[in-house]
Amino acid sequence: MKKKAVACAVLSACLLQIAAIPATYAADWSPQLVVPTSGARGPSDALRIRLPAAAIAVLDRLTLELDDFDVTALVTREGNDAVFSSPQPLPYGPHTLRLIENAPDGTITERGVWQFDVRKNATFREAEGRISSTLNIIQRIADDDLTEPTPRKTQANGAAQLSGMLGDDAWRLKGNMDLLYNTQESLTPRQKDQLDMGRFLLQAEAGPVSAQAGHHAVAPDSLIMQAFNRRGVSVKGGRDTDPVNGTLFMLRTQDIVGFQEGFGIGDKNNRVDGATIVGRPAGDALTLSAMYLTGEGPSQSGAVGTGVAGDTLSTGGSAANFVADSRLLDKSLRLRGEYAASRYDFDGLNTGNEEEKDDAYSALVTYSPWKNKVANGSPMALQVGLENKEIGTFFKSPANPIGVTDRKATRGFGSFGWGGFNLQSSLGYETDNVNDIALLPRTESIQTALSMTYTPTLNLAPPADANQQPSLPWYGQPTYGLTYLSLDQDVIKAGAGLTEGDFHETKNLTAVASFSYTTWMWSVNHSIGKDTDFTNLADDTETSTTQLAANFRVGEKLTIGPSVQYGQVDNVTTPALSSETYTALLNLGYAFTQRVNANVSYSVNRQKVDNSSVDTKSNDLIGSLNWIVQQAQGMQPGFTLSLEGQYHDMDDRVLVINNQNNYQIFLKGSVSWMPVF
Amino acid sequence: MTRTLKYLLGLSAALAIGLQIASTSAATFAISRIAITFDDQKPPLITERGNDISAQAEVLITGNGLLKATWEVAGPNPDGNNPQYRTLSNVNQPLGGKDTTVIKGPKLPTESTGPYLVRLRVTEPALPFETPIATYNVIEKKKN
Repeated sequence: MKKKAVACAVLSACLLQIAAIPATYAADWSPQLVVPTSGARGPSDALRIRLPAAAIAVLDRLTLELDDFDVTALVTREGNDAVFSSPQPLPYGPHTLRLIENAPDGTITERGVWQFDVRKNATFREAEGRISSTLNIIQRIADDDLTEPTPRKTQANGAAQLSGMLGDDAWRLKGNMDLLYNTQESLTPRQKDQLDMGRFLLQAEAGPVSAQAGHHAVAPDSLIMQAFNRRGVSVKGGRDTDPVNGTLFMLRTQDIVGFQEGFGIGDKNNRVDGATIVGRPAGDALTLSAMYLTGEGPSQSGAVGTGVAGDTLSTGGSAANFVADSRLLDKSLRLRGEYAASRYDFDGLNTGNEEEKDDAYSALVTYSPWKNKVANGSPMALQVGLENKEIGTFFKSPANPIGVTDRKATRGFGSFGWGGFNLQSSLGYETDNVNDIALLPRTESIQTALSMTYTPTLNLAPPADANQQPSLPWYGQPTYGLTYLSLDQDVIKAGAGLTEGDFHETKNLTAVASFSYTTWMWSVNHSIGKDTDFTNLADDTETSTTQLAANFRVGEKLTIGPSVQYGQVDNVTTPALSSETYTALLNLGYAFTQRVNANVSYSVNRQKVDNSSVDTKSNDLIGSLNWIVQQAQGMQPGFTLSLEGQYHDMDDRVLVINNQNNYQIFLKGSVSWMPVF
Repeated sequence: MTRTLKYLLGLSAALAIGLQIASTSAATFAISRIAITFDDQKPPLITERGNDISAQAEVLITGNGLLKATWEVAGPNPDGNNPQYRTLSNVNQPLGGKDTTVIKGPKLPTESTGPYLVRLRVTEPALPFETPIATYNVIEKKKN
């Protein structure tokens, strides 16, 4: 046999050694790591160590370590060479290979240590490009009663994800970009051109300095920056693990996509500029950070294509914060405090009133007393916490579009997990009108949240046939869930027309159960809610929603997924406004062969208000038959031919102008290309 | 003080009714912002055929009340000018106590390649802005 295992585990080798030790075992010899002929060692290249004759006699005593991991079992012998082939490509960058001889008397002799780089080629350590793309050519071959103007019969659309990386020892460039194409311009992100861009990010790193341009977030969520992943530019000095690092950033206030606005920093009226500095004076135990930012623009709304809509008023201001975050007692205790201040112009810039000053703070304590605790063979975990925060009535940051204002709140929370049981709960008390404005009322709120899930561990009898799975009980593998939320709100200081007393109460209870079997599952979900307004400004309602869903796999080819949802709103104040809805869905999938499959989805929806202001019923049928002529692999493109159909029926008994009954059938050819360079 | 009150009214700009109540907690129920995402990813999304993806809506509210809405999808390859939405699920959910609530949506269809449109069509309360629409594009699955 040409190839033979060079070594076994060290312990085995020692046990197999006979008492008589060859006189040559301690002979001086040196192995040699063979240099690749290409000059660069690639991620999948084998590592070849040339051994002298003296080493062959002691093969069983040799251990090979790669980056401190014993890889001896993966070494083969080819003549006088020991060859290691990694089952996975090695990461780009520096690695250490070590060959050790373990003598029978326990002596360890390091026979060779090599530092080597895994590189793409002699010029670049890392270089890779990826494209994942599909282009669809669609021909509408039949239709009936489509809304005028009808779309063109021949259309094309496509999408591509591009990513690339280039780097050497001291620097690295990375980038990714989404491209979207559609002959219907109204379906591209900006709804303007047929070819447009989604989101993108370019990253550069040289030593401790890094820069990002594109859609990114520059800091963890805080009182002054939250949900603020935006297009822009940032430069960072220092790494996250360094004692100090700092970032300068310019981000567009409004979320945008598409080929517009370059890197998003050209419009000073729609930009947030700032800086943050992070210090770690005690390593992982304590992190101190501070941020200052100033900006303006319509932060509440996104541009077309972002999926965000809201207030388009351009507002602005500045904000700063200081955060101390510590993890103590082996990271089981977390203490976090934040203070922030802001100046903000709420009614639009350069109009109306001037900006207002305000401040906010938050304090958080969490404690996890157990580490790796096991009870009755199951892991057990507990966490408790307390949070206190006060956010001024006029506190607002231009980089926090979802920020809470005007709150003074204390919340206690806890979570407990044991085996398949998990419990989460919280109890909070909060008041508003923090700045104690005389004309305004003050409300107090008590919020309760309780959530439980339980997946019991089943004691299954072992199957008669070892190749089969243990059979489940008749009810399958169950999972149960229960969620309760309540909000009780009272006016505790009269003002603005409100008198002291009960104000609002909301309760919601949801119960879920699902049961899984080897080839199918089903679930039931029931939710009830009650919303009571004690001021009679809004209607009182009681809601209930029930949903049943299942998924079956019949044989190896057929999948069936039915679901039914029924919802009811009982308007207690104005019964004529009570309503009901139901939706039924049926998804079918069938794989004729590995290359030919079909999918059908049928849905029916009914919506009705008791006073007949709404009375609609819709039916939709969507189907496709797909033949994967050639699947994309490597540089080879793939091609899929599809026959697709859509049927839509809308019966609106109130607004008959909405009535529709049409169908359309398409022939579609899809070309996919997914190379890795 | 008039100026202060005016600011607060500005904070709860959606208060078309009940102007006498100005604090965001005591304000009339209104939605001031909706952001649709696909799990943790923002639109427009590109995903592979057969992937499990769901939409969710981050809803910014003032006050407390009942949200009535419908999750709808159009596509693949919808008419961009007159997309025919079909209902995936209905939402009847009392909201309150938090300024931002996440409304989880149903699993979205990914069986066919091409663009799809998703929206959470809110029927109550009335939106003071156009319903946001999120796009996702399904591309072919890679061969393993």
